[in-house]
Amino acid sequence: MKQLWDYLKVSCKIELENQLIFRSNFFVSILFVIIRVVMLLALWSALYQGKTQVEGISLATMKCYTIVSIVFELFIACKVENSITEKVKDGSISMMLTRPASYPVTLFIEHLAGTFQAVVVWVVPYLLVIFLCGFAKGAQLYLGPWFWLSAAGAYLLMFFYQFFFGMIAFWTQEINGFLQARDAVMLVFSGSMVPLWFFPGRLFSIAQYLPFQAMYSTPLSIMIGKIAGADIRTALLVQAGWILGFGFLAQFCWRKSRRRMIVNGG
Amino acid sequence: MSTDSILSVEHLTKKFTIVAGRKGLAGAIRNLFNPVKREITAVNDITFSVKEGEIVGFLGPNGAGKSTTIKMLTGILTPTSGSASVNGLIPYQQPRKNARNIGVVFGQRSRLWWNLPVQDSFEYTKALYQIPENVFRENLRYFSDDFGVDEILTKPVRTLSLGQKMRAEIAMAMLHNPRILYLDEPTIGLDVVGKNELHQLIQRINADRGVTIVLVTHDVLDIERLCRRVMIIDKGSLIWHGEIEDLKRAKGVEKHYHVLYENPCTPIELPFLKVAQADGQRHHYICTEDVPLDDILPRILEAGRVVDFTVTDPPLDQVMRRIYTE
Amino acid sequence: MGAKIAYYWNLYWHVLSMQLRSRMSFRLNFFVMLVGVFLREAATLALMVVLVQKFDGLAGWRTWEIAFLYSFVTLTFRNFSSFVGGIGTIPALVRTGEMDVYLLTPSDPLFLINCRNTMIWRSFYNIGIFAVTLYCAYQAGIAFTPGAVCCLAVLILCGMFILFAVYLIVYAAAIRVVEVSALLKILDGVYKQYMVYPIPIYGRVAAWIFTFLLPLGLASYYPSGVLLNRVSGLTMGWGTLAIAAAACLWVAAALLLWRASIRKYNSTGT
Repeated sequence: MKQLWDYLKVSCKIELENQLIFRSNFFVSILFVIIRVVMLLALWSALYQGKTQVEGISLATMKCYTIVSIVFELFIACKVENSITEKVKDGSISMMLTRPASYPVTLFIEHLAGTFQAVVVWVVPYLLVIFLCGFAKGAQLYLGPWFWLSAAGAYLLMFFYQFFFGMIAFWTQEINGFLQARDAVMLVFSGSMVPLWFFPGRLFSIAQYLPFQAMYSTPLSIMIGKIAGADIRTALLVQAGWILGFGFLAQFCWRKSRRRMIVNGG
Repeated sequence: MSTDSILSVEHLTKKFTIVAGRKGLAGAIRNLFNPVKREITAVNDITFSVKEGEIVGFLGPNGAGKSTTIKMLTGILTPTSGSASVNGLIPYQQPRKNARNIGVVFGQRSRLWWNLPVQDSFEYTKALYQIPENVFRENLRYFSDDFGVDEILTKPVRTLSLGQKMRAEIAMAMLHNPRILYLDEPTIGLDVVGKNELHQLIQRINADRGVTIVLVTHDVLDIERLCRRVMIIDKGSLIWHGEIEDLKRAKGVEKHYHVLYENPCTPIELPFLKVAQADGQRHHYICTEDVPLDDILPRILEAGRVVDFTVTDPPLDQVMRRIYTE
Repeated sequence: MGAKIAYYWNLYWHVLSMQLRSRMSFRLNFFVMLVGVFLREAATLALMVVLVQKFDGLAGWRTWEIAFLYSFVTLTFRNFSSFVGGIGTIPALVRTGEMDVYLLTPSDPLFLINCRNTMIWRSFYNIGIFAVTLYCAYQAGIAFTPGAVCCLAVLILCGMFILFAVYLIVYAAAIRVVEVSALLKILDGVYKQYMVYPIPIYGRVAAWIFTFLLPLGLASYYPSGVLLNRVSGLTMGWGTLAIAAAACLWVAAALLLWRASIRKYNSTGT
């Protein structure tokens, strides 16, 4: 256990150092986050011109959602799928068998380190800018335990989801087209581009059956109060369902992949 | 500057400014706001000239500045100070015009198209250099007949062995009849047979076509086989410049023998053989006299069951040290 | 001069055919990609239309006009990446030292880089998006007179060249700064996500920046606005001319900057 903790600490340090190596890159990246906030807020202000609320959401709420959604994206960003497909491509995936700790665990620790870096390097400066510029004025956010539970759930779900698809890459490398389609669907149905409650009836129903809304829309909606009371329980249950589903799928695929690697020798 | 030299260089210098990293996380953060810059001199005041038709060698350890010098000669880099003149042009001021008269082969970077047959890369070169049809055919025939390039013309580059690839690279570099051919570590990664073949190829094209050849390498054997004149570069400076005979004399006849036995055994004792290292299975002997292998090998084989055996020249820095002190 | 043009023309087709032959799995993926790309862009467009419709238009532009702007931007970006996108490999070429090879030929290095690295067959995937753009133009009320069609074609071309100029300037910087991936992400993101709406909504300062400093507006808002007669003081004809002139200036500036940067090139290879 201590070994894992040490590995986590070292990973965090490395991730941070890597980020700071290219100076101009670093400063410009922070600039990008600020640009996104400014432009999205301007967009929503223009959309709401002459209206007080649409679909029960006011401009202030929408601004809040935007800011929070950008932070949340930074927090939940996951490179696990890429990491796995890269290792599959260059063959070093077989080396993962020989490590003392199990591969999924090491991957998760690396992911945690990446998140730590994202939080320190992006989220903190970003929140500073937000509060200093008063973007969050008049925001009424729910930051109770249900929200944190949901956020943690989304984080876990993203990991299992990417790990599962990474394992698929191990079995077939010809799924590029499918992955592109999947990403397009995710873009639309996660609620990060356009909040789900603006969707017309049929699309909204489709969104409910997909895991993407459990990654973004659910925790964010809880935070701005769009989902409240009894609805929170339902939303969390749905999220839990997806987590378990992908968790099992990921575990199953990992077992099969390991067996195949042992048999074929990598 | 002599009037019949095809290539000449005067006080050529190249300096780079790099941002040095600082250690640790705190260092990385400090570096973000107050970076430490360092100036390194890759090439320091080099002067020499090369006559047409010569084969000239650049010898030196890794990082000595050989590649940087070649990059300035081929027009890729502009010197910080000093000048270079190739074929009557200043290469870094007119790189494209210069490119028409030179061929370049990188040992570690391929110019061939990976997925396609060799022939396609040749046709590409033909279009790129606007090579007339008859010249193209003639060169193709020359390399096919004399060097077996025709065997590999239809094979995709990725299926070729290293030796075949290098032959194809050199052929491709010669298709447009350049007057100067630059070879940057062409024998790297090749085995003894491959090296031999490549040496023969290079000698032939120099003899048949009068191409001036500039060979950059850290392998002394390449130099010995091919060059009459040698220039040794270390830490950016030209530390030695002379004929191959002088280099051979400086190198002497010293040979190093490395033996790996199956089981530990006692070291051999011979009057002309110095034991550099003999712990258990690995033995390293140095012979400083001109003794044929016939007199040594039987004794080595007697001492035990040999798993691996290599004969090498003395390390380059040792040769250079000796040259320095002369 | 004529000989030079003939040289580059011949070289271009030669390299193109070699590229096509070099891509082995190209045939298999073609239809999958064609449909995939179209669906993806259509989906995001539809979503945006749904949103704007809920708000009854944006900044005085009606929903179909916004849809036209959106598809114009998408089309222009895809044109850029499929016809001159090869320049996108420049940062990688600099980083690996592969750029050296391009500097050792009789051909102009920028031309060769573009030739060898642009995946021009991707332009086929744009057919669907082009159709969508035309449809949105029709729905937005643009009359397809010969003059209008001419202007539309010119403006689509100009958009592509403006993007070429902007990105080339950034890549030229890559030669000195080496790491420009963040800057490129900003460019991509801003153009594809924010230039799809009329730039006046971002305020006077932003509008000025995207018109004169970072002319992404010239490849999005202004062409569309000119065609929809929404830019005050500019008729379709004069607007098209003005944008074309600006595009020429920007391309010239980018090429000059590129030439200067290449001269200062510091190879980082071994």
